[in-house]
Amino acid sequence: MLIIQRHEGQTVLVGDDVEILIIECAGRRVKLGFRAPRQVAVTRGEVKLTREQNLVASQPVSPAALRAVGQRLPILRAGTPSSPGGAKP
Amino acid sequence: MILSTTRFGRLPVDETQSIEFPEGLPGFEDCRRFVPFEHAECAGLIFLQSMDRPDLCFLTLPVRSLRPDYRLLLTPEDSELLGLEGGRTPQIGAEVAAMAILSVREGHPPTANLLSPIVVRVATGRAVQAVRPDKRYGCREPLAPEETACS
Repeated sequence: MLIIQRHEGQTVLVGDDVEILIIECAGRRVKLGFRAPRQVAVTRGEVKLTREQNLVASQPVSPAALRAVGQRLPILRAGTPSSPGGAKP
Repeated sequence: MILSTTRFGRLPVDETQSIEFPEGLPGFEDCRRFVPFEHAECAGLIFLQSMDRPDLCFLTLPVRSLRPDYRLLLTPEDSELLGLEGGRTPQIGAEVAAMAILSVREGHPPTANLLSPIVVRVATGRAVQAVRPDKRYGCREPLAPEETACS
């Protein structure tokens, strides 16, 4: 991994089109600005993790696997938590 | 209305209970309208069926039923999407509901995404998948806090 030290107000370039500006360092937080072409997606690392996990979670679940979840959950065995505005078909 | 779904076939749903993600969910940016419901197939779970894609149905549980002490942490952007003034983080309860999406795979212990709860503003039905800006929870947490993910 390439490591570069920068001060507030300085920039880093990635290729010709992506510019990262170090706006502010305060305590343990860094505020960054990104200038990039529209087709370059700039997201937090956790959003990428979430996207990948959503893709896993969206896969069909077999009835057997679903029953196994029910058995693991004391809260499901004990009763039904109220649904946030959920309709019962 | 009757919703055509892959999992449940023709499913009668109460449209007034639908929730709307103005920006979709990460990986499913085009899926904005969902309807939450419980089903006899697994009482207690909340199914989140997409109204845009018949084959998309997430399994969720209220975060507080997984971690009774769970507290939300929203980015200012997510707070704004929910229409909360001043970028504040709301409390789970009458104002917002928070559910974790479950990942259930055969041969693996089920996990819950506590990094990115679905947060629904009860009054308006607006929803976001609020990716936390801290590292308190992961996206593959065991369902019970005492379990380890690889047990």
